[in-house]
This record gives sequence, C-alpha cells and structure tokens, in this order.
Amino acid sequence: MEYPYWQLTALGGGFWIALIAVLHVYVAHFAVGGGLFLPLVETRAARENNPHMLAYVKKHAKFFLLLTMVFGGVSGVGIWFTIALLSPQATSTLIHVFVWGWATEWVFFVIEIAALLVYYYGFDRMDRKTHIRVGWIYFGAGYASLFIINGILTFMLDTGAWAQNHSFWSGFFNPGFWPSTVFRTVLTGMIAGMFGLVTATRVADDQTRLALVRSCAKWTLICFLLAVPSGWWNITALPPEAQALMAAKYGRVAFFIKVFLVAGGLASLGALILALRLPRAVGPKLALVVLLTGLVSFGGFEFTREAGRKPWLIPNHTYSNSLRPAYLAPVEAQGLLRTAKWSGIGEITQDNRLKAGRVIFDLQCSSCHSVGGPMNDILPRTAKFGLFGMDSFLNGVGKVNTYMPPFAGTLEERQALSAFIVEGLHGKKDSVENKTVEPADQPVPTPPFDKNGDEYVLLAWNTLGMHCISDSDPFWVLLPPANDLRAVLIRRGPGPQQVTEGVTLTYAVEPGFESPVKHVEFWKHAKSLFGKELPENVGLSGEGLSGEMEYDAKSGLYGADLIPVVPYPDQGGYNPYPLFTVEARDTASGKLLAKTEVVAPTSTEMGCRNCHGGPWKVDGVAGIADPAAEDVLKVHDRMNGTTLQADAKAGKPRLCQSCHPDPVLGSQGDPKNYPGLMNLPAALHGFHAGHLTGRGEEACHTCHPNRPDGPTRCLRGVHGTIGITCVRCHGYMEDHAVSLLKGQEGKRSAAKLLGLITPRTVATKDEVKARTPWFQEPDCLTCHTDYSVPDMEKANAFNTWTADAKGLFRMRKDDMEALPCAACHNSPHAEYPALNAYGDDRDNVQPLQYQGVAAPIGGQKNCPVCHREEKDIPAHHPNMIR
Amino acid sequence: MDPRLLIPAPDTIPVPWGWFDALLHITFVAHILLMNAVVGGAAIALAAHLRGSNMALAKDLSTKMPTALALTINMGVAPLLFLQVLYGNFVYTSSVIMAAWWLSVIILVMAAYYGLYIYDFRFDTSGARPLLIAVPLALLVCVGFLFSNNMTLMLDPARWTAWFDNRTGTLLNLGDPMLLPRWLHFMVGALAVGGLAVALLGRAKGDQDYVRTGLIWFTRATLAQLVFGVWFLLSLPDPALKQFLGGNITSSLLLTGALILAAASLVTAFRGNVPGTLFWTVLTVAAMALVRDRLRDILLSPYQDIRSLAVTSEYSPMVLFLAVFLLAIPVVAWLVRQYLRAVKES
Repeated sequence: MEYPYWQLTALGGGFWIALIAVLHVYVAHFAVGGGLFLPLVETRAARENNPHMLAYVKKHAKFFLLLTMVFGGVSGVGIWFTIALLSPQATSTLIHVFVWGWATEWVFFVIEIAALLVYYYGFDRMDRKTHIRVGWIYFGAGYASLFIINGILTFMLDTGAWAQNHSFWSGFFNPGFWPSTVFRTVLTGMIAGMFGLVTATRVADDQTRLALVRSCAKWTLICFLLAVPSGWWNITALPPEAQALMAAKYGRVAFFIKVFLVAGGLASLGALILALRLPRAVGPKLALVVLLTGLVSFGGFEFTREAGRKPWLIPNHTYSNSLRPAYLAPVEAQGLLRTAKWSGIGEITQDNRLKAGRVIFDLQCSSCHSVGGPMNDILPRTAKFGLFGMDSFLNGVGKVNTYMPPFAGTLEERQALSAFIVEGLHGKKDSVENKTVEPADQPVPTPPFDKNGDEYVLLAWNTLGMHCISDSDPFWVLLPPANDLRAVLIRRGPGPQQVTEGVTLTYAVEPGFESPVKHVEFWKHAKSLFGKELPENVGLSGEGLSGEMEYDAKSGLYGADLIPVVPYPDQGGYNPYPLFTVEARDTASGKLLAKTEVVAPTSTEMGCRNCHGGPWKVDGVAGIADPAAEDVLKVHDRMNGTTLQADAKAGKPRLCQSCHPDPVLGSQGDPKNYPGLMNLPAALHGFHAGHLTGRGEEACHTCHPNRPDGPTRCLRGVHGTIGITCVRCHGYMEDHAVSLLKGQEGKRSAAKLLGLITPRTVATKDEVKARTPWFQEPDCLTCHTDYSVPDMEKANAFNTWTADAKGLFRMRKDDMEALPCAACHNSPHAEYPALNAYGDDRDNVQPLQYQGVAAPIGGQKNCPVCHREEKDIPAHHPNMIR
Repeated sequence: MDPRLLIPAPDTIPVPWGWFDALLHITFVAHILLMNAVVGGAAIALAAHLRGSNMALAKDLSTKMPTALALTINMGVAPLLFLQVLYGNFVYTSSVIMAAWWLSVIILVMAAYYGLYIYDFRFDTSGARPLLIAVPLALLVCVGFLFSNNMTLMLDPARWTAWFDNRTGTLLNLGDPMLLPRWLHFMVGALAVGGLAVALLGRAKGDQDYVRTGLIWFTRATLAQLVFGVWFLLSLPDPALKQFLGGNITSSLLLTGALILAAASLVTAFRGNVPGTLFWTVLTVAAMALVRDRLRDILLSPYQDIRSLAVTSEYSPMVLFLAVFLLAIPVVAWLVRQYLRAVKES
C-alpha cells in the first residue's frame, strides 16, 4: 500500500525468502551447534591426547569457517535484503520496534567473527587451554545471537502484550519465546551432529573416525528425539487462533509437520547407520545424504512456522500481503487502487480492466502466490473458476478459512481481479458461463371436462412446487429423485364432498420419463447412499413412475410419495416439468370418474458448477457433472478434515444427510460419530453466505433453479409473474443464513459462521428469528393480511415464520378444513396463474380444464366448478370472492 | 506527478534521532574504511600480478583480504540497520525499484568472499593468480556500483516514477548525473585507502618497500580525487551544489573542512609519515561522510526531516545495547591480544 512492489511471476509467492531463509537458517543453526561441538570435541581430543581427533577439529573448523562465515553470514544479510524487498512494510515495523535487539545481536556477531577468526587462524599457535576458551567465547556469542533473533521471530507468531503496550520487552519475551528457544537450541545440536558427520566420515584414522561418527550420530539422534516434545511445546504455546488454524486441514501445517518428523526421523536413522562400522568409502556419501535429509526436515520446520503464522506477517497488525487490518475499511470504501500509493491506476475502465486486475493481484496476492512457479501457484488453484466463481470465491476469502487475509477492495476491483485471473491468466475469453435458454413451447394438455355433465372434479398438485435433485450420485446426494403428488376427488354439487372410499386414484408419468434409471446413476449407488438396494425405477418409499395413489386418513388426501421422476426424457435434453396423468376410477366397476394432468416439477439445475467448476452435465443447462461434484467434496474435505472425495472414488458416495440432520429427509444425522453438526440447510447457507454477499435473488439462483433466462425458472407462480422474487419472502442470502444459523445455537461452527454474516432486511442479528428449515417458513398471511392483496411496496414476509410444519401453506387447509390451500391455488412457487417456461400454461392445466381461465380453482367467481351454483359467502377464506 | 505522494509513511523511532544518526555515521565510516582496504588491496594485488613485481605483497594481501572482507561485511550491517531506522521509507522504496539488482548483491558478495579465499588458499599453487584476484575485485566493484545506484535513487523521489513503467525490479539509476562520479569517487578513494593499508602493513612488518608502494598508491589516488571529487561535486543537483559552494555555512564548512583534512593527509603521505597519514585519512573520511550525510539531508529536505520523526521514548533496549557493546570491548580486546601474543610467540 505504502510501498512499491517487486513484480514477480514464476519466482513470486515468497520463493526468494523461502530459498534464502531455509538455507541460511540451516547453516545458522549449524553455526551455533557447531560452536558447541568444536570446543567439546577439542576438549575431548586434548584429554584423550588424540592427534587424529585434534587434526579433525582443525579441519572441521576450516569447514565451519568457510561455511558459516561466508555462506551463513552473507545469507543472513540476504534474508534481510529479501524481506525488505518482499515486504518493506512489515520489515519497517520490525526494524523500528526491534532496532536495539538487532544492534545487540550485531555486537554478538562482532564477537563471533573475532572469536572464530582467532580460533581458526590461531589453531596451532595458541596453547590448548586458551584456544578452547576462544571456542567457548565463540559459542557463547553465537548462542546469544540465536537467543536474540528468536525473540523477533517468535514475535511474528505471537506479539504477546506488545499489541497493547507496544513495549520492546513484551514483544520480545512473547508467550512463544521460551518454547521456541528450547526447540531451536535442540535443533542446533541436531544440525551440528549432521554437519559433523560430513567431516567426521572423512577422518583417515579408523578408530578416531568411528568415535567421532558415533559422537555425531548421538548428537543427531538425541537432539531429534528432544525436538519432538519441544516442538510440541512450541505449538501448544501458540495463541488459540493459530493453533486452530494449524489443526485444520486447510492450514496445510499437518503436511509440513509430517515432513519435519519423517525427514528428521530418516536423517536420524541415517546417522544411526553411520554409527555402525561402515566401509570407509560409504561414509562420506551417506553423510551427505543425511545432511540433505536434515535440510528437508528443517525446511519442513520452517514451512510449518510460516504456515502457522498465516494470514499474518505480524499477528493482528500486518497481513501476509503487507496490508493492515486498519486499512481494510477505507480500502473497501475508496478502493485499493486509489488508497495504495503505488498502484498507477485511478479509474477502472473497460480498457484497463485486466491491467487493473494485475495490479490488484500484485498488491495483495503475489506475496504468497506465484504465477506458474513453485510457491502456491495461483494457476492450478483457480483453474476451475469462471468469472462468477472467481468473484464469489474472493467475496468469501479469509472469512471462514482464515489462512488467507480477506479481499481488500471495492466490488469493481474484485471483479477486475477476477477478470485478470480468469481471462488474463487462464485465457478464458468471453466466458459466457450460463447460456440463455429460450422458453420452449410444448403443447399444453387439455383434459376434458363437461361442466354440465361431469359429476366429479379431480384436483392434483405437487407438494413443494419444485423438487430438486442432485444427480451427482457417484459422489454425493443431497436430494434424491423423490417427487410427491397429492390429489382430491370432489363430488360436485351444492354441498361438494370429498370422495375418500370406493375409488381408486392412479398416476402415470408421460411417455419418455418412465425409465429414469437410464439417465441417472441413483440406483447404482442407492446402497451406498441410502443403505438400501432399490429395484430400478422405484423410489425410496417403493413408488414407481406410475401406480396407485394411497389414501392418507390423517391428511384426508390421496398421494404418492417419493416418485423417482427425473427431468431427462428418453428423447434427450432436459425438461423439469414432466406431466403426470391422474385418474380416478370407481374401484368396483373400473369406470373412469375423472381425469386430469399435473406437473411434477423436478429440476437438476443445481448450480454447484457456477463456483465449483466444470460444465453442466446435460445439454449445457442442467445436471451436476463430475468435476463440480468432485470439487464439492474436495473443498468439504479441506475445510472439515473429512475423506469424502477418497470415499466416493472408492465407490462409496454418501448422502449429505447421513452426517447432517435435515428435516426434509427426516434425518437425525449421525450423532454417534459426528455429534453436534448443524442441519444441512444451516450448514450450506451459513457457509456459502459469506461468498454471496450484497446480492439480490441472483444469490439464490446461483444454486437454486430460478435463473430468469435459465432452463427451469421455478418461481413461476403468480408471485413470480408480478416481479416478486425469493428475497421478499425468504430474505436476502445473508438474512436467510442468519435465520437458519440462529436455530442451531450450540452446534459446531454455528456461532463462527453467524459472526461472519450481517443481515440486511432487518437491522441487527438479534432481531432475526431462528427457524427450523422446511418446517418454519414464511407465512402467506404476513403479507396477505386477511387474505387481501398486499401493499406491493412494503409487503415483506421475512422474519415471520410459521410456528411449525402444520402452519405451512402446503400443509394448511381452508377455514372450513375442507380443502388444502394447494388444491385450489396449486403448490407454492407455482400458484395459479403460473407461467411455465415449457409452455405458458403447463402448470395451469386444471384451472383451464375446469373453468377455462388460469386462476385459482373457483376464482373469478367460478364457484360452480365444484358447487354447481354461484356463491356469495367467502366460506373457504375471507376476501375470496373477487 | 508529485513525488511526495509516493513517499511511504515512516514508522516511529524508539529514541531521539540523534542517537541513530551518530551510530549510523560512526559505523558507516568504519565500514567504508574497511571496504576501501579490501577493494584497494585487491586492486593493488592485481596490479602487482600485472606488473610482475611485488609478489610478496600480493601474497601478504591474499591472506588478509578474506578477514578484511568479513569485517567489512560485519561493519556494513550496522549502518544498514541505522539507515533503515532513519530513512527506511526511502531506502526500502529505492531497493524495491531495483530489487533484482539489489538482491544480486548477496550473490556477488558471497562469490567475491569465496573468491578471496580461493585466491588465498591457491596463491602458491595456481597459475591463474591474476584472474583469481581480478574476479573478486570486479565483483566487489560491481557491488559498489549497485550500492551507489541505491544510495542515489533513495535520495531522488522524482525518479521513482520510472517504476510505473517497469515493476520487475530491473531498473537502475543510470539517468542520475551524480551516479557515475559518486561511484568512481568511492572506488578511487578505495585505491588510496588500500594503499594506506599496505603502508600500515609495511610499517608493522618493518618493510619499507610496502610503505613506499602503499604511499605512492595513496598519494596518486588522492590527487586523482581532485578530478573525481570535483566531478562529483559538480554533478550535484543545484540546491546542494549551491549550499556546498557557500550558500550555507554548515555545508560549506563541512566540505571545506574535509578538503583541508584531505590536504593534511597528502602532506603527511608525501613526508612518508604513515601514522600521521592514517590519522588525517580517518578524519578525512569521517568528515567526507558528514558531507555525504549533509548531502542526503539537503536532497531529502523537500520530503522529510528525520528530526521530525515521532519518538516513542523507550530507552531501555538502547541501554541493553550500550551495555552489551561496552562488555564486548574487553572480550574482543582479549581475543585479539591472545592471537597477537600467539603469533609473536610462534
């Protein structure tokens, strides 16, 4: 922000500091450990009067001098140069806080250099005792310099009380200081042992060589064994947020710790092998292998430390990309490009959009992400995204997963950055991500009805208005093929009666939809997903694509549940509105009493791929294809430490609700193995809300099948046709998520997610009322007070929920408890008059059939449909006669 | 664009600026003297090889240069630290602008350092000795050039806008008329001080040839500074030049004083007085460093005054530093004494 940046691509992402720092610190720890090693071995050589050992010490001292003074010393300056180039901001803070610490360390460097030069050049010239004392002075100075730099390094993991009092001493002696001192001390011993092996294996005298190699092996092994508990102490001394991040899979730390342990273990093992009597030729080569393995282990430690520090360079003060938390609000208001002194871009225009995106990338991403290089290469990590997905990812970055800082910038800048990555780096030109689907115009059935002669009226409807299917069966299932139909048979007359005995109601899907097993893999994986083998084309409650409807005495309705119809006709393509023929026959005689047709809305336009990548599965418009399905699991595994991706690949896909409770499937989740998980709607919306802030209903149809130019357009009832969107009843995405999360108090991550979301329809989170998904939904009467036409401007149903499932529109009946609301008005989301994308009146078959006008059954004074006479009393509900 | 808009905000300092300024100056002078000794010594050794004379001198220098470079690097760390405290917002910026070049200094120094060891260890056996010393010398001269680039670029925010057209860290400050004469002035100064180092070595060993050789290098290089020094002076931007040429009492007195000290060192050198030359040379370099310091303040005065940096007044860490520093003196003295005693006895 304040400083210019060094624009790197392949060698960006911190490559230079990783390279220089790992090499330097390895050698620097050797400089300290070796500083102990030299006087100790020299003392032993003098005591045992062993000239070979003494010669070894001198040779080792020369090796030591050439390595630690030249490479070690200059690379230490190299670190300093590098950090000032990669983050002048953080470097300036550290320098200005700890200048006297560094100045003190420098004094110890002076002593070190003087002592080492005197030790080396005076080797054969001084008396033994004085010479050894010089060695000890070197070690003392070397250890002191380690002690000091450790204070500054641990400050970068935990600033301790410095955050409040800005005291040098509080920052230096932070909570991580002593554990780290012990750990690094132990490491110096281990590294000294490994470097010692390199020279010890070259000693000519067999006995001396063996003694020295064994000594070095002992140093290596014992110190490695001590490193494990002291490393553990280090981790437990970290602040809780850092520990939580390190424990999470997305913190990447577990991998690096493994590298440290495995490579360190191997190096120790190598050292042990060297302690055996090996042929002289083998020793030096194996010693080099041990040394390099030790370097890998040490690299694991360094990367652990760096990962454990994320997203900070200085905790709660400076992020890894040098931005500061204090800057985030002004940057969001005025933009990063205008707040950064060194951007060179004022306005974002169509012409400079990619260039602006590049600058934004350089300013806040390139410090950790290389472009096509070894460090956190941004290319594979963003390969799946189109513009929308990239932008939504950035919308949510740094919220749930705090490994990265949050995005800093305006919405426009976020989009410019997305364009740079998607179009500029990946070359995805003109990514029209979702194509416009022209409405079809399929013929609308016209079942017959003789308004004078016919004795019965048969009404049928779907329960929910849209039943979505996740056809990602090889990987996971959220909602299986399972449509519900309901029906009532009414004997017409002045006192219409529901017929509930002596009749048989049947249903049958239109041709082309009879064999869903040909189009989805649900039946192949049903055992793994639902724990039961299902016959082909039979649903989870035993119903097929045609059959008899059951009469349910409790509800007083005929119905067929969990019909496994899918939106894929045999002739190909996608049609989410297959028609079912419903017939009522006299059971005894078989005479057809009434017949009608009803849509069983069923969509696979689940928009996971909008962010999770890959194409649509079918026709480029619907269906969850494998890439998106797999990526969903990959992200879930990374965020939650699960193994779902591997399980699915091994042929065991899971039902989401096998772990997450969910009222829609009546699932209690898995309280034994995964206690305290949120219900699935709360988890899904709560997590994704952070990625879809500040949107209107576009947030909803990112996932739900209601894209206005899409292949389903499920909000197709009267509300949809007059321009009311999801948001007016269900709230914005943020509101929706908050209402669900509040109903999950005490569940895992509920509080965390709730803390990240700000509601929009109401002022505060406290005002939002908790709700159980599927059971507590908006209440029609909130807007339709007294069943009247609402105020179009002000009416909003968010935050007033039905008390329970019985209060839902789809479960309620009229004031006389005679008919379900849906019988006359049709299902929610498709209330008469509906407008269907596959033929305008495809949902209005029954009103057109029975009264010739697409309105609620009996509406517009069509009471004679059932009553065979005009009525003027609003008996079903107030204000119905209009 | 107004360069002031580009200058990063400075951070606070723990104690008043004077402490850092004083330490910056003292450690810089030590660093420059040592650097001069190494670079000048390397040049003198190379000359010896090229002329085919003075092999003994070259041999002597070869054993001492690695140590001298070690001390140079160590003494470079301190002024770099204090420079960042007072002028960090300027020098970090200029460093980033020339990032790739700046980072290469590390490799160049490391290579030169190992090169000097190779020259030392292989002196007696190698047939390519001129090359063995020419390479480290060239590397160090390049390092000096890169330092001059950074040190001039940090003083000229108006030139920083070049970064907007090249952000890859490959820019230098070649357009600055001050760059070349400044760098040459330092390099020629190195020849002079290198010669002085040779003369000191001669005095310690009682070798009059060394003394004579060394003082010839010293006097000739210092006289050459009449050209390079004046060139440097004339290349200064107008506001600075005016100050040094009488426009400002302090600036003019500093420069005049330094020149007088330089003249004094020439006098003692011509008289063959090595300790005297050392004395006046150290003072000259110290004075010239003050002039350099003054130049920096003049050029940065439109942008920042280090006197106005906010002070947090936390003195205790400085007390720690001073205490450790004072304790280090007898320790280092003991080490050096033990070594000298051992050398004398062997």
